[in-house]
Amino acid sequence: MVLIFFSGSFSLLSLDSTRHSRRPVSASSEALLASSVPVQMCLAPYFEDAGYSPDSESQPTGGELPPIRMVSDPYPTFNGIALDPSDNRIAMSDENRKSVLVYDRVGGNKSATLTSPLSQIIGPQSQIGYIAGIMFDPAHREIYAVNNDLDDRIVVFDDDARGDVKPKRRLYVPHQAWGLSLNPTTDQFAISVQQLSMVAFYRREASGLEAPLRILEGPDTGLADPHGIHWDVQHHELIVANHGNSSVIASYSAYDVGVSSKALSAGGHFLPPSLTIFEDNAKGNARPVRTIQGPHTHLNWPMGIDLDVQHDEIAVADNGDNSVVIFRRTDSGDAVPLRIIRGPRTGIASPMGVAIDVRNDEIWVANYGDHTAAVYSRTANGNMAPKRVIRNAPEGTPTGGFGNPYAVAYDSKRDQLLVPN
Amino acid sequence: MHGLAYDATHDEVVVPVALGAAVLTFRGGAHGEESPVRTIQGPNTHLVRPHTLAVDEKNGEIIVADTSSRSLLVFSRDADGDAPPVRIIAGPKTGLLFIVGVAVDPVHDRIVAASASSVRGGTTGLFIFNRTDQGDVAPRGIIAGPRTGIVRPWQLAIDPSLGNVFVAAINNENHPPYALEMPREDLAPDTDLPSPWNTGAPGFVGMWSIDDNGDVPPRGIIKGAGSYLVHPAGVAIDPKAGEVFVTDGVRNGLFTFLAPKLFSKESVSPEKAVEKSDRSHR
Repeated sequence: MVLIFFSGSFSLLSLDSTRHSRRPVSASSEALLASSVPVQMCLAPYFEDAGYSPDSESQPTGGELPPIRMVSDPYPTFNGIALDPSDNRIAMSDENRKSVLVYDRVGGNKSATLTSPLSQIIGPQSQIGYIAGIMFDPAHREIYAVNNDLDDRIVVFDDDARGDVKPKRRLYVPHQAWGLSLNPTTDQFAISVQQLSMVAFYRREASGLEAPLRILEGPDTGLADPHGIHWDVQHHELIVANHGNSSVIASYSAYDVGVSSKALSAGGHFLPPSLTIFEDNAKGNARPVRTIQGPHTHLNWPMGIDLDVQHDEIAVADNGDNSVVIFRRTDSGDAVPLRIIRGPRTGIASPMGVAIDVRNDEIWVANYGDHTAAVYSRTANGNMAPKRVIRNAPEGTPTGGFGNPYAVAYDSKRDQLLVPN
Repeated sequence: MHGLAYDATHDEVVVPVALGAAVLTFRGGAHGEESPVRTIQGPNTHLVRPHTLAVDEKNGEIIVADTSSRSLLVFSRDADGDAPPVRIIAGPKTGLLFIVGVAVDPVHDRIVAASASSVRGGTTGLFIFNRTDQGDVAPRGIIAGPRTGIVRPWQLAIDPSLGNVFVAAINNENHPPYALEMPREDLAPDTDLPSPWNTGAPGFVGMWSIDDNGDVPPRGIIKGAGSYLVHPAGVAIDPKAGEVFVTDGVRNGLFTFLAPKLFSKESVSPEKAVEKSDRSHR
């Protein structure tokens, strides 16, 4: 849970910024949104029918009012991250403008300016919405992205796709799927599902409404609001990062009537954040073979994870700690991390994704709290500056921080607006 | 997290945690990783998937809308731990199903819930109850139907001084492909569900009187391309400043509108609004 507080007069990309100014945001604000970044980075939703006739005396009060202030970030925000070292490419999911961005691995350098992507997939045909996890399939030259909230689908593209293109495959998945990981040996992939505290396994080429091959779910699994997931093909294990929110839900959509007594009597729990490691053929209510959990782990909203098989290490984007924590692959219990990359020089801010580049001895971090993806030496530790930075906005550009904002409250005492993600 | 409320009387922020089946209360000035001052959580709470909530500052209560238990759960404001609700509004007579918005009017003693239903015979709209109702009770009023323009409601806000209800009508299409762990059986394997890119009718923020009932158009509205709103989901108000605050999931942004007429008694009467609606439907 994140609450974002804005001063009642706060405005980002508004032409009016004072509390007492009542000038509407002019029509050129949209132009400002568009002109400040490449056009393809701006969401341009359809809006054909205002359905309102402003000249009727009996019209409802109000109408087509322009806002007097607005907070909206015209630039992408990086979320998931995936590396294709054989092609020297790095891809990031962008949940703000709803796109997939692919960059040259050595792009960006230390420039303060926006880094031009090699390609961007964006637009209504793409069906990319509020996306989180992303992965390359180098063998089949494909790129996957999973829609997390509302859209309930994985979209698969050729890895050279660009613009407003249809996915070559689309697989519907349970609500709040977040991470995904491929096993090329079994030709399957696994996804994490937040609200069901579940892992589901699919055929690699599954599409449409195809059901999962198996699911891993239940109180003995220790899964609790899972996010990052990694299939360790070499050791036949599955690593899952858990935030710790735990409950049993019943039907929740507008399409179902039933309420189960099991859900009504279960009650919720807050478990400590964890990494749970399973045998990769686990199913049902299977117990993990190892769990990394406890105050010494520094885990705090663990998001994306990656595995370095060569050095036997797990890296975790530790969102709540503004850090990247690295464990031994075989760690268990209240383990102390091998290394923690954290501090003001790192530039790490609310990291969502992490990727280890063994070939080039580097580690990547996608920052949600800044418009950056930063690269460090693989063995970086402590408060170290990045080697290179890819920017999706000019240096210093603030982030709105929104992730599908579906509510707002007004704090009349502080004249602030509260927006939850 | 799809709801929250600020309690000005006690200077507290109250939030639901859907995936932890909990309601947390924080200090109003809480910042960073600060612990809540109270936590409602546990099997006695009946919380399953608390979606949104409202605070009744006058009567010292928190009203929680739970999308999974299909209920409105009323807790004492200072409830803490595994506390049972003091009242529950739920059952077939209520008409409530997927409850995504709730607001309370302590002046007129009403609770308003925004509920969506796609099951046969179900109703999508605003369900108005007496504040102290409990059990399986019929609402005293339902605002629903084509004239309302509400296809899919979301967050609510109330101006108790005038008894006006503000509704974020998100109005996007949403047909979940899964029923929990497995694909829905009522969908064809080759089904083509709406794209996440702006589906359904354009959304709007509408205002109704708490005494409205039936298929009545809004008395006040903010909508249209000039508003920048596509699918507005969140709404809050500052009646003193005449401002309406709106979040929009497609825009991924927060918008402030200056609309003092929506906070005055000059807003259009329902009779005139119906005339307008009738003309536009001819």
